[in-house]
Amino acid sequence: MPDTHVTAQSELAFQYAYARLLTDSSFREVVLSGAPLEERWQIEPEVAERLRGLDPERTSLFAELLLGNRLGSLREALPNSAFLLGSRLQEVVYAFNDSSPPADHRKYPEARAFAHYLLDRLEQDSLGPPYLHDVLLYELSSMQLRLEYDEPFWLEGAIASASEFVAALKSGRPVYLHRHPYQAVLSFSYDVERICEKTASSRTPTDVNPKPSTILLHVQAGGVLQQEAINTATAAFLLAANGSDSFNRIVDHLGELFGQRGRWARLRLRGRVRNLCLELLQRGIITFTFVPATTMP
Amino acid sequence: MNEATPQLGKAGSRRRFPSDLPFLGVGLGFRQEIKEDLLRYSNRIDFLEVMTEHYIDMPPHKRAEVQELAEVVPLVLHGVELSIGTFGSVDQSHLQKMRQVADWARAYWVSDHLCLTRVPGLAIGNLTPVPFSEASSANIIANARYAASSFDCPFLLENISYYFQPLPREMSEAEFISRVVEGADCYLLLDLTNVQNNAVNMNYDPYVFLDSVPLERVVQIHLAGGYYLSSVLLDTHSHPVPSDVFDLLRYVAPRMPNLRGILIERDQNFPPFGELLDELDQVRDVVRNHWGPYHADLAVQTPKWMVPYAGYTHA
Repeated sequence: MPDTHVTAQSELAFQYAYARLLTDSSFREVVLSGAPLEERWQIEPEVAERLRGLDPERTSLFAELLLGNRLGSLREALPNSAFLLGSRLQEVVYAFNDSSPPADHRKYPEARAFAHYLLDRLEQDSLGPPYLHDVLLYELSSMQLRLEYDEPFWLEGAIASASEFVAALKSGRPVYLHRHPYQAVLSFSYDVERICEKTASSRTPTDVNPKPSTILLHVQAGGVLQQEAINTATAAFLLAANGSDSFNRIVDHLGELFGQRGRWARLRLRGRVRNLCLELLQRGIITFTFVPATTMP
Repeated sequence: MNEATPQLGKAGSRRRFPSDLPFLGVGLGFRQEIKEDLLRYSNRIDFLEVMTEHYIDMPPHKRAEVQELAEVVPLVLHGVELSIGTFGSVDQSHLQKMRQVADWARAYWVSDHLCLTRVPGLAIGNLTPVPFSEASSANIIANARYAASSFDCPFLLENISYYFQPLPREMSEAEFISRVVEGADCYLLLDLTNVQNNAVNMNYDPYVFLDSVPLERVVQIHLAGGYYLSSVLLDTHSHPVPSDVFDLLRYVAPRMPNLRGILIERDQNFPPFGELLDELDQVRDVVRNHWGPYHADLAVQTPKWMVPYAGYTHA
């Protein structure tokens, strides 16, 4: 009677090598060639023997199909970036496959890992048009927001009422502003919206010139992703509204940032920030509490 | 119950048996690309099969989607990532999430594949054959028993398409499948296209295969179409169901007393939707003409689930 624990261990070792053979082209080539295996491959002779019993042609065909599936899945998750990579997509995915064996069976963690890999590659190498970086960042952020948001949206006890906000400011009670947890403020060098309009219908954008812009992406209840162009002041406000600073401290911070230092300038700024808060509260983009986030349970 | 029909499972367990379920009819796989048409023509589709992994670790609107679908049409759940063939115990976390999706979908049954898709730290990314060996079958039996006990509905394992076989080969595929589903006391999702593909690619007789598997454990049938690549017939769910697969369907017709649904899988290269509806009718014709004793009451225009189930009677 075989020892079941030993059997399980040796079978798992075989399965690991088998999975590696199917996903790692260098390993596959070495094993199926029948050449002596160096220690660095960390494979037991009996496991290698079993793997060499596989039909090499069919195994390689299957491995190619796996790689094709991985490519298809990444293309589906990041369609605009994939379109801009064009004929280089395959080469980049193959290189990604060599450097990052598929560790997660879920499609989106895979796509996220690929996007980060591609962002790193773009730092060193121009793989596509100059606006590819912006498009990739936009797609990565959109994907993350769509797939990672959960309910409830807000901290327990957070208030979204504009009238309560006004009353609190009047009373002098400190209020702490919290931006929507599922949003992103992104700055781009190109007009990403226009570029993606083209690429989404498989058209190559023409006459693309640098055009700095800042976009707010946010998920509404029900999972609908919204986006809008915002100015730098709104972007700075949203980045500061992280629940740890009070309204007054945010006004001071923005005053310093935008050079609004005099008493009247600061008062005008306070009025503008107050109005911005009212608008964002009404649109469900921020809430507020009477205690900072750091002290909340 | 007919004498020829084995008693499946044990009375009093929390698992429901196929005999507790209505014959759902002929259905389609739910895919986002054809969602609009699937809903528009839901009166011509008896049930839908949703992919488990499309609803795992997803935002709340995906949960709402499957819950809303369950209000419109009967659902069954089909997974690709349980990896029941991985040595060691089955992935508890994944199983728990499957259970949750099954609850949302009010699934009539839950299925996954008789294969390997991952090992710790490495995801293969497709349905990969396991050795047809004693050790492999013992491992899968233990895993399938555990998985089946996690659901309040029948648990099915599907035969896969494969293009090569890992060693050791201690038994035939049919023997392996029989041993697993009987040992685990679970049910079979018989993919007739996979049978045909494997018969072509691995050079065996599909009719002998069908004569060798426990047809009384088949709860669902899958049908699909693929294409040849380098003389290998691929399972791509991209083409109409070929005529030789329809022949297999006719052949096994009168011999599946626990069959509860037949499904056409289409994942890509979608034709005009009318062609898919016609294909469903083609399957219904086979069922109506060949399966009279068991499924003479096949619903076509009025899905059975719309009326209270009055009990299932074997011929």
